[in-house]
Amino acid sequence: MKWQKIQQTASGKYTRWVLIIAGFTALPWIITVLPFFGANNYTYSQLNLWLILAIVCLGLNLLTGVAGQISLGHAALFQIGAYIGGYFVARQGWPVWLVIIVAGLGTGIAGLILGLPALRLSGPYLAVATFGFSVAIPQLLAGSQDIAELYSDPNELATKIGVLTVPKQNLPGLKADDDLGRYFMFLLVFLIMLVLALNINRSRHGRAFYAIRDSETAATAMGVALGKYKLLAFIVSAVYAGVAGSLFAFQVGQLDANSTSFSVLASILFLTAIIIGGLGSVWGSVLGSAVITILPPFISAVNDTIKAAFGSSIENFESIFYGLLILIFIYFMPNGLSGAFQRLRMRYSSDPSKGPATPAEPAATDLPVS
Amino acid sequence: MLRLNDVWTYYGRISALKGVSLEVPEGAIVALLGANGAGKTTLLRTISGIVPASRGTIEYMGKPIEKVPADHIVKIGISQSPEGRQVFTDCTVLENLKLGAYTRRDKAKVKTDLEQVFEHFPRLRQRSNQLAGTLSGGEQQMLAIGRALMSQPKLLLLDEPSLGLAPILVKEIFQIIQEINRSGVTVLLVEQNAYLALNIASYGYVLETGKVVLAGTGDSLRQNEEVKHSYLGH
Amino acid sequence: MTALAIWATTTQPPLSVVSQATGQPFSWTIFLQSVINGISFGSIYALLAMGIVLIYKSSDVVNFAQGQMAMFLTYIAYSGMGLILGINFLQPHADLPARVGWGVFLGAIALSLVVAALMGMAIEKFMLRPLARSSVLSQVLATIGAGTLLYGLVSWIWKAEIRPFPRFEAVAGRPVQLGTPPDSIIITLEAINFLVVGLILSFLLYLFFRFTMVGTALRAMAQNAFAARLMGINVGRLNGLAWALSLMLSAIAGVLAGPRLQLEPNMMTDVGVKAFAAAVLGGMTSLPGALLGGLVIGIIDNLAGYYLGNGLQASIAFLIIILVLVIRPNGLLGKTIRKKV
Ligand SMILES: Nc1ncnc2c1ncn2[C@@H]1O[C@H](COP(=O)(O)OP(=O)(O)O)[C@@H](O)[C@H]1O
Ligand SMILES: [Mg+2]
Repeated sequence: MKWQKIQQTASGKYTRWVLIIAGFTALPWIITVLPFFGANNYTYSQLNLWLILAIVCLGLNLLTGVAGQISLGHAALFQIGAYIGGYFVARQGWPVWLVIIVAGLGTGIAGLILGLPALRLSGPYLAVATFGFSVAIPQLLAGSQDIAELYSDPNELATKIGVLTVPKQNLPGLKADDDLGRYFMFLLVFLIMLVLALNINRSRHGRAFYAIRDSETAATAMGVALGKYKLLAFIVSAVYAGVAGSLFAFQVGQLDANSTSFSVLASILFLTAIIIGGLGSVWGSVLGSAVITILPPFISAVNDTIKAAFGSSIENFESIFYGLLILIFIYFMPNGLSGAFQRLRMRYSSDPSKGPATPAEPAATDLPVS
Repeated sequence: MLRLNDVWTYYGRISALKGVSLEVPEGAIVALLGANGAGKTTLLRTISGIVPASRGTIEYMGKPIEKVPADHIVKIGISQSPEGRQVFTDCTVLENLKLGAYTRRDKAKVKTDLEQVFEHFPRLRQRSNQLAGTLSGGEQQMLAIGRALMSQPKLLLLDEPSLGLAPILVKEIFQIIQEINRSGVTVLLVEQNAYLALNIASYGYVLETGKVVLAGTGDSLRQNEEVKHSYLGH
Repeated sequence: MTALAIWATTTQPPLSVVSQATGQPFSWTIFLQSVINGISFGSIYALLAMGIVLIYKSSDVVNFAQGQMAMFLTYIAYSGMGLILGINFLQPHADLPARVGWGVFLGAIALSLVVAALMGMAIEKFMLRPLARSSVLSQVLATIGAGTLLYGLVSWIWKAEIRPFPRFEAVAGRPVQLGTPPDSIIITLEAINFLVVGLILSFLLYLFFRFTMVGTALRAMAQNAFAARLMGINVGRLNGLAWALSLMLSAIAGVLAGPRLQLEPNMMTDVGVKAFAAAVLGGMTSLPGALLGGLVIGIIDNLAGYYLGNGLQASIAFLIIILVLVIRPNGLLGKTIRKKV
């Protein structure tokens, strides 16, 4: 009896993962049905950027959505990962896979440093401390000669301070510019990080993170070692940002310390993605980052239409868009897309004709969004 | 003066009041008794418009007030000295009292009322420029009552004024409550100390898990076996 | 070199400190000049910081968009000048004069203040009141969303180009010079104006909170909103008032700093960040703290800018703030913060 049940769920899980992997594998071809996304390198590079963003968001959602700690410093962590990754590939010639791990761990240490103030700070104070991190790191990487000399090319006199040129990386045997091939390289990393995130969420540690978010005093009372778990949440989420950062270096090939990809704006964009996807939801992180990745060509298409109609396009048009998007989700869909899906599923999975509706089993991936 | 009819109040999905009906006649002191968690505080909050009633009617001087917002309730003459005093600890005693008169525009009358409060509570006059947070528990209770009086109420709601005070102070405060009542203010007095409350009240209600389970004159309740047993410690 | 120099300077007597940015030997004149510049522009940070504190104290909301709102209100003031002078201010190269007199200046400020007040009350009522029971994160993101939206709208309406902002004639005169030329300190009238206006407004706020009934009620509400409601205080309306006052301070800061910063959608981004830091440094719940925090940030900012170069300026400011916070989690003058439940 019991054994059967276990077998059943195990095989159900197995099928699900086969479907998930098949879906992700087919995605580069499926996505071409969308307008603006043809079977070309642009499309594939967007897919790669999506996976990168999704990895950051998986980590950020653990910290913010699950453990309830606001971070406006994730762009800086992402940047640290990118520069570590870029440095070891470009200057030391280390093997790519090792570099990804090193970038993750190195950024984890940075996360520990970022998390230290969190032991004593909360709410607005934590926000400003992490915000400061976001402001300071790009400046250090761009403005400090010592640090810049570490990674910039000594043979190339023309390099700008703070700029690191990285040979693009790909699966063995594939050309550096083959973004479709790179998709599968990134997909492998992404899937590993995804499985890890799902497991952390369900583990004892994951429950401790929830306890921190729901009430810090209650968490202490329950015996959750608050400080330890807060730090742990920062470290884990930094590892995610670092891994993603190194992939970013392999994708774009040139890192500019002052680029907006590493600015506070990027930190806000990460938060926007998890709000859209759903706080605390693993699949929400994936969905939310997809929305953020898909939007730009649509936004510029709208702007082009405006230009055609009124003669001039709107500068910073995307700000209007993102501002509205954040507000719409906060006011009308506070549980994000994953919350909306879950509600739909609840509605259709319980058949009222079959006696009392069994409460829909919370999907393993959709966490209770409060 | 005040009449509640089948009042239901919820905190989220939990009902704290389950159809309470009671009446406070003009000029009286009415006691509201009940164990911890019975819903006494909730009842006062509902009357004050802080926690809205989801069902039932509250009539004050013949008009329904269950939909009236909290700030307006004070203007029409109902004020409250809340449980736990809730004085503004970082404001001075004088500022606290002036805040009690926040809704009033008759400056001159406010001044004489302030004098009146100081007469009831001479200690507050001595400490008028001290921060309320530095007062003793008894003094804070006096301040809370004095502050409630500053709005010139016709109906005064008092939530456990004896809580945590030394017996001598309790006696003093109860005397002052009677004085206030004699000056024409109707009082609804919430107490766990049933003995004291029934001593000065002309009428009383006993609340249990959100329902009125007993009602009667002060004397009859004092004689009641159940009340004796549960609330008077006999 | 620079990164090491930061640590090296702390072990050497200050007189041998060499500016990394210029390579000049240490000079007290330059040091003092930096401090004075810092104090004067610090007043701008302080005005925004006091606005942030006003909102936080009254309604527990951290407004991450204070800078963006100040920027928007500066555009309003600019447009007010355009309206008064009859110049089409929406025109990409609107030719507003380099200097304006009392009438235009005050008219523009008045318009900006009115818009600030209305905007503050509207934001409180329609944006934040509905989120009163939501998480801190939702509230923070809502203000960020509003800021982002404002940024986009301003870029749309006025275009994103940089425009000069007219100077106020009365403070555009010759700067004050202290000492003889090689060793002199120069203070512009504008800089004096920053500090004077900042201090006057702080003092007015102090009077308002200490001696008016509404001010006292605001303080009472910040201490105990429940009891405030029992006093018949309309908490929603007072929160709206706090927002209005906050944005009015920002409007004034914007008009003062406009000529220095120049008009563009990003003009207040850096100022907003520093103001936020100032508010936290001062304790987030203390208006005098925010004033002090603003001035301190201004000074640190200028000294770091001169001695370490612009590159590391903001980092140092934040490093110091994080250190202060870790040592004194409630800031310089703050009380224990109330945890949001
Ligand atoms: N703010 C609140 N939220 C949820 N439940 C509450 C709240 N305040 C009181 N209750 C509940 O309502 C019931 C009545 O409480 P209360 O009115 O404070 O009782 P009393 O004043 O008689 O001790 C209790 O069960 C209490 O747990
Ligand atoms: Mg009670």
